[in-house]
Amino acid sequence: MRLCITGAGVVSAIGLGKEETRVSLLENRSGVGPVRILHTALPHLPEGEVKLTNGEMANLLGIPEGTVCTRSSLMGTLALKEALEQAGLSPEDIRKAVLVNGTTVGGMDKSEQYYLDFISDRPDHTEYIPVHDCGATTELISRYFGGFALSTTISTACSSAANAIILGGNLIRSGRAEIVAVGGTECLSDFHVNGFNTLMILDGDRCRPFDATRAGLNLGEGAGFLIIESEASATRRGAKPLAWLDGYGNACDAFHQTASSPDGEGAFLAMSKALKMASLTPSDIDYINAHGTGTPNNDASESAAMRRVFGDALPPVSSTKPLTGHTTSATGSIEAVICLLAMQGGFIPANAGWSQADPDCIIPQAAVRTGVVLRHVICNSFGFGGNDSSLLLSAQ
Amino acid sequence: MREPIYIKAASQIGGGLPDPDFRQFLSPIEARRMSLMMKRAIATSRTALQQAGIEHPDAIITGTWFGSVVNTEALLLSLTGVSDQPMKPTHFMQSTHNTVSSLIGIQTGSHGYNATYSHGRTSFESALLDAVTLMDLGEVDNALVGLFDEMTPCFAALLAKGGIHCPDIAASFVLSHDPEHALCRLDHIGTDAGEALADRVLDAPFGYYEAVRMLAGKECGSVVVTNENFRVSLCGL
Repeated sequence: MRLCITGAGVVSAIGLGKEETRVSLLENRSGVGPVRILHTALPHLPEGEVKLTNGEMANLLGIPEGTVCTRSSLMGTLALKEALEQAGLSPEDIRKAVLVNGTTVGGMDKSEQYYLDFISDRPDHTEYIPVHDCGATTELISRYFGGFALSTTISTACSSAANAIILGGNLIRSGRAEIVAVGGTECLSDFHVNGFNTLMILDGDRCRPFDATRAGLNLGEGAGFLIIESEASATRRGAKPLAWLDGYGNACDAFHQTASSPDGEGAFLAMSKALKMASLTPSDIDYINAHGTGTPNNDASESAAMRRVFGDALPPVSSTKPLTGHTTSATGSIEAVICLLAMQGGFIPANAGWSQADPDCIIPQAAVRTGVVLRHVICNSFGFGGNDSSLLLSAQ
Repeated sequence: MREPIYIKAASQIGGGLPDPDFRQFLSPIEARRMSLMMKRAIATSRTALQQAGIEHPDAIITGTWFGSVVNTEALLLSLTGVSDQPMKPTHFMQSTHNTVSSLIGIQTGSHGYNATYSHGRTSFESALLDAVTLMDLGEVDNALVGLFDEMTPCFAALLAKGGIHCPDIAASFVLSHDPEHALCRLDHIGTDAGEALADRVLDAPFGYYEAVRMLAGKECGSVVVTNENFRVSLCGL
């Protein structure tokens, strides 16, 4: 049984919606820059912010002022709305569908803002306490659309959205669902900006994945959602397939809580499983959207894994994180949408900022390349704890 | 379900079940770097895997409502200036919800499927649904499924102001297609409404371990554990 993608939606630092995102990718326009919206103790660090305030996003969605929302729920709702509209799902279809969201920050943006109010003897803003946890953000998104048959939340750090897509695929293949809405959403929070800063892996300049001078990552935010259904369901509804989710793999590096293994075992297994599931060989892959965070450790480990899987047949590789920033839990679905746009538009997004080769790293596609045919692409997402996942998308 | 799924082992801390001596599972150096929840997770996971006679589970899937509360709270106290301690990298590294699943993966050297669910009260049912789906598809033959939550007095009081109570719990279950020495059978997990037809109906989260214990001891023949819209049917052998 093949898994048919019939809708996609995205919001990130490089645009609201697929069209803005596509143009930014083709023009190699980065959304990483000075912080304007997040209240942060580290304003000197460049970040990939979504250029909309919470109020502006609520307005776009027709959500009344004063409604309890998290920034992640607003971004997630925008992306899912675009995906649902493209798929043409009716309210009844939505009620029968399953929503799988990936997030880790959840409502931390509100918790860090109101924490002193929460713990005081005369607490204030307590309506935000029930939206602190990850699942609450998913439920806020679900409620906007009138509720799904089942909603759940995956939290595997930076591979959350990729794993949400994998669960959705498995629910369809096992006959537990016909249509799934899958992806992830994550806003910037001072909590995780400061947390990443303690690990000393944030670059004060724009990140340079796979470059010899790379010095860390830039955080970003956003959301991406896909509507995936069984081929039978898409045919019955007359929905147009945008692409196919032909393979995926989830593996555990089982090496260290935050560092990746030198041989990239988890990443190697994730990509190998995805190829096996799709019954494809490495030479069938036309493009890899790498996890490519820009940290010395990730890029060397991921390069080792790609060399193990692809050998001399390495297809063009790029990390789009210099454009979007590392959108943590949402990265898997945002980059899956980027892969869709690349396949549809026949282009390879650039690995912006790369100039100097590192013997420990693959050489990425530094500039945008147009006029290409992408039949099969792989999209990598790796998380803390070695939660490594790869998605394999096919154009036809 | 395609092939029968059995529960081969179960281990729990919380709900009246005390902490074991962690020294049998962890060296003092390892233990010092871990929160109580992480130590409990290692204890219940190792106990369940040992009972099931499995060294490397095919899948490790856990659920948690609030994740690593001890580390998260320490970071929040630093961030908001309540504590004058700077944020510690170890707290951040161990603050993500997948800390426990990946810790078990690292500790047991398991490179297989690894996932973590955090969906409020139904985090464990989400993990269980993932495990059963993978087993139905034939992707894995066994899975270690767990539920881990920890509270601090301060965080529990904070949540109470929002009308939320989350129990301390560490529970691990081994699911397998192999019936040998199984404790009971997992017949159904779903969100379909309808009468729960069983000898006993128990509430999650503590109902799962209790159900396995009762079925293994032949105290009854079938149990349904209910939680919000989820129903999980377990049957004696």
